[in-house]
Amino acid sequence: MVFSKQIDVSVKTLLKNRTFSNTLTITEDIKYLVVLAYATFILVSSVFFNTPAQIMQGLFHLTLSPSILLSDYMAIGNIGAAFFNSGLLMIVALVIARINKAHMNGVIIAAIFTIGGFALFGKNIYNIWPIFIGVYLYSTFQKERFSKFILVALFGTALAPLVSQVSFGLDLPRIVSIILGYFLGITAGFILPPLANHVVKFHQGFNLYNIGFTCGIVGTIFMAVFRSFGLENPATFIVSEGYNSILSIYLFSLFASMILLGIVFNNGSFKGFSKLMERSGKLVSDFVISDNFGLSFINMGVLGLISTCYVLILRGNLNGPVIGGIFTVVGFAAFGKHAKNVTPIFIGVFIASFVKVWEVNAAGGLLTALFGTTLAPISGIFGWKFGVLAGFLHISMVANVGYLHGGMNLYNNGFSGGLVAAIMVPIITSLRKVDNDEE
Amino acid sequence: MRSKKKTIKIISELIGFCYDAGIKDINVDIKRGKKEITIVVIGKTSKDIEEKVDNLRRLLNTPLEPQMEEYYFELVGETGHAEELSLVGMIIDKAEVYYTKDTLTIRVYKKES
Repeated sequence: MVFSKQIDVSVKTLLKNRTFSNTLTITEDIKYLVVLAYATFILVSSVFFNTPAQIMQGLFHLTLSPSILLSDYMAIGNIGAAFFNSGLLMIVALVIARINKAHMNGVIIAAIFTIGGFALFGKNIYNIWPIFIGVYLYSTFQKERFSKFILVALFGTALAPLVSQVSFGLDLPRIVSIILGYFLGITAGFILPPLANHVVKFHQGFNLYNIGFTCGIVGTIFMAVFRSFGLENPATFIVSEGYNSILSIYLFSLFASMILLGIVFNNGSFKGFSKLMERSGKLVSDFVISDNFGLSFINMGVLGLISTCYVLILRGNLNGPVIGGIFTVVGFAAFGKHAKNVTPIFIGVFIASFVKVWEVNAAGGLLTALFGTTLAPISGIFGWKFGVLAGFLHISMVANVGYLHGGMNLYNNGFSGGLVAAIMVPIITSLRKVDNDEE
Repeated sequence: MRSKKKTIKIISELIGFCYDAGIKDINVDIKRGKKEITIVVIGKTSKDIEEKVDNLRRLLNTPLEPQMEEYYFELVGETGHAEELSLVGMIIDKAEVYYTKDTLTIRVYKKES
């Protein structure tokens, strides 16, 4: 309540300032308050769906689940518990960013919303800490400030199911499995920073979920070792359905508020939005820096609405993983994605679903379309036709790489996207080079 | 070792810009101080590249973002494109860009970590 008041005062101050000047000054404090307001809203909104007792019970169930792909917390716990978990983890990420004095730029917004999204199907208050600790130990080992590594720490929680699966999914004495789970999580966190920086060269910045590719490799290694000891992760496919009405109202309200807030922060207009849409989205395209905070929020709201409509038009189900995908798209709308560069990916996946063996509105098809937008820079740089091709290839690739890491890398599409980008980009570049040479 | 690699990659990126801008006469000067490295790139051209230089100045003056360095640094290279130049801006401490008549001077400062 106190927080809401603060936000109210901040917005009023902004509007008041606008009367005297056309240029709004949006301080870091205000940016943090805005993102904190969304995180708090998501947490508090849990009581719209369940009673506090049900939320706590659901939270208990999801926290003790193995959490490997695909574990919908709305099914394992309940809708309220899933949103509570999402808001809680967003606040944790936000506090870590604030303590480390990170600017609330596009990449931090992307990280916070990605964590919030995956907290609907894989990340929880138990399994994220070993990754943070591992990255922190690496920074200490390197005698560098942890603040330099917070992106790896935040995005690196993609491997959180490694902790939960070992802790609660293997047939070992509980105390042993918990210690082993935390040990492996810390180890994974420790080796992520050098790998994340190294593999970004592989896809040359055309895969927005860079850490997804990194975690895919790390997860593959861990899974290979598990299998060599006769340990196998069970095929998991837990998804909820039947909540489209209430969840679509929830999401539309959330994204409409982002557009309105963005307009307020952008001097009451859409000015500059068309320029934002001309950006390639290739790493590193931080819209909060290159454009501004208001335009980034308008873009986030617009992409949220488009993504939700894509799911609803195809008569898909809104559930934990699908909303997680939408939240991730929304977060990266401040860091590379916009309607112009993600639409070709949607189209590519949509076409592929018709000619290939997948159903376009099944959870797998929808998640591939939403998370496949990791390849948005391909359409941004090379044009929409290559974007469509990327989406078309991506759906085939993503269906094949999940086995490698046994579902322990939540950013499975980032893993697949890295491979697709690494194959497509050199070929397209070399063909274009021939064209240029001929000119 | 890491510092050496980073310096070389920043230089590559700046030279990439010069190539794209059509500059044919390029000189690079590096001063390695105890606490700071200074890179100076001087290019001579007969073309009017004022618009490109304005863009370069804006990109190199992107606010310092320490968290970007350890995650995305390897993307810095030889392209001279906006995304990479912006990344250089995020990891250097200061940039000065001067353009007078036919001479472009880029001066970049980076503290040793």
